[in-house]
Amino acid sequence: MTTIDKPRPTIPLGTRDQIYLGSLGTRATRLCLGVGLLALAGAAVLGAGEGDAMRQFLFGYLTAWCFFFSIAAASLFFVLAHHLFKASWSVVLRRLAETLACNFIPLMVLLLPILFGLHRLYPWTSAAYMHSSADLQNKSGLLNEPFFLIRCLFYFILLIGLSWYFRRQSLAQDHDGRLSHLRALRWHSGWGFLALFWIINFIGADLVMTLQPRWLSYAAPLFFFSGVIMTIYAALPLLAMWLQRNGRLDNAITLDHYQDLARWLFAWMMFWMYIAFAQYMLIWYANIPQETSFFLVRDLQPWLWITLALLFGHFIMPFLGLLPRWAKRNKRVLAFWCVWLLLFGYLDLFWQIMPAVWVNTPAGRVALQHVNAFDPYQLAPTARYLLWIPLSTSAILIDVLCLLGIGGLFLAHTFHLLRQEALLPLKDPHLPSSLVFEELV
Amino acid sequence: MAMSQNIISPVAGAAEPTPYGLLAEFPDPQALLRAAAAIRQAGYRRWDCYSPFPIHGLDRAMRLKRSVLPWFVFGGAFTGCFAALAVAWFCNAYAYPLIFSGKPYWGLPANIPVAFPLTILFGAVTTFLALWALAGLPRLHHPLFFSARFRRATTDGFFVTIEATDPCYDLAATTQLLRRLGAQAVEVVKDC
Repeated sequence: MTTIDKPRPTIPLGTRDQIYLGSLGTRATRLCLGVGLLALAGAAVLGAGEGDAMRQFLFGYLTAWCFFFSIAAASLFFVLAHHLFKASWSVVLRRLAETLACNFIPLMVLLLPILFGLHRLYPWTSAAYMHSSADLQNKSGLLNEPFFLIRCLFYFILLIGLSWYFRRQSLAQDHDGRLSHLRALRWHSGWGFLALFWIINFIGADLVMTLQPRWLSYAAPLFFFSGVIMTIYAALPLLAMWLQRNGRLDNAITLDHYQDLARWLFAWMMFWMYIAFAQYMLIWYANIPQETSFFLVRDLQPWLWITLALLFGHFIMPFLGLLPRWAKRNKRVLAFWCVWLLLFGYLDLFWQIMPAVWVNTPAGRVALQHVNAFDPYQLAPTARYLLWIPLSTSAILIDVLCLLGIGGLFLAHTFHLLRQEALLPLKDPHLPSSLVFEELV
Repeated sequence: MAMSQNIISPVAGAAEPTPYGLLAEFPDPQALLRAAAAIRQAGYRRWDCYSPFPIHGLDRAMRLKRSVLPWFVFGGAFTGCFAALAVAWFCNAYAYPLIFSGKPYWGLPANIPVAFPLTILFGAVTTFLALWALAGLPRLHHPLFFSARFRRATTDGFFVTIEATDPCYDLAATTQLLRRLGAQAVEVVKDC
């Protein structure tokens, strides 16, 4: 690729308004912090209500936590991939991704309610349940609280260490401009990439899959991973558009960068569908009770509609919508699909997590113990009613408040970090070529 | 020098070779970009640019239209997907129904793995064939190859050709336009 024919655009690096958030960052931090704390408090008040409210709160909270964990983990993936492949086009976006990735400390703190509510979320915390069948007893080496906590601690030490190191080295280069920082980052991106891949897979298995401890599927963690990585390619264009609307990075991020982000969004959306179908088809074909239990619940009345909504909203519609080149190069259209796919990314997690509310009720346990003899038409009306619980108005209100709460704190921390430094890596040697990056097709 | 002007000299009495068009050489990519924009504004339709490497912004300067190739690809891919499902349905569910491991005769999940690669195969083959057809391939010769100067299009030459069939084409006026745009050399290419 050549750029000799084109004069390099001069970006006014000297003016603080263009590449620094400034007072906007302070205002955004305050707003997000306020909204986040209020929403979390509201969700907690609703969760302290009578009946099963606390359990519903924990499920909604877990879903929202997983969603924002997705964005942070995927940002780290973006940064590691950037260094691993020695990319130059994405230099202008790197600082934003680095900052989004640095949210693992707040995410670890926000994980505490889940750890305290472990008994209400995960059936494997009950000894009686674990003794109820042989296949559960075989898993007790993995599914016990001490080992679960040790694993969580291990994941977060690695995630916090990696994200912190990659941001710190990048900031250090802003100040001294030495190439050694980039070389170190490139060296560490190799093992970091592999480590991150496995951590996301294991977190998917630990936090989401073990909600149904008897369920077996080798593809499930990879399915979680594919949904996780997609989120950054939807979140990053939105963050960039917000910055540009506010007069930051106006010349630095061009339609060509948006087009490439949109292509990656498209690719990961396709990968999600590929893995989703691969898992579904193998389970459908093998027809083994331990595997089909997952889809049995999601084939019952309210959940069937969400399964189909995912097929259309997470694949067919964005596939057709994002396929044309002009759609990827039109900011309004792209923004629409980014918001759309983020919503469906959340719905994907909702679909993976929420049916477990029913699975662990007595009716659900009885149904899933004899999957082969299960007849949905024989389901007692009370058991059928229980399937709808996560879709009740109060439950959805809790979900929305949890999403706003964790999202508010997540964004507040992001803006807090963003406002401290330049919005792009100033002394990266590839910055000039990233600024004039142009798509040939 | 003289060779490039007319490789095959017109023989007395033989029909005059029809001119293919004008070939102009420009010193650098910048000049080519400027020339392309000016030629487009002058209203020419049948003309093209040649350079040894892709030049950013050239397609915009030329106002090149989007290729129709994607529509062929879509048609091919759709046919592949439909054909795979139709054959699978015809064989397994209609003409010779068999029960495999308790599955229904017709199960869409089981047939997606066939439909998926066939979609890609038909799409890819259609892309290949349609590209050849749209580009006018296979083609054994092109009038531009008569020009010795044009050989540098693959190393360091930047060229514009305007075909004689263009409605705006006029030997004197077009030559003057190309000269004015900074062409180092303008020559008539004959189609023999």
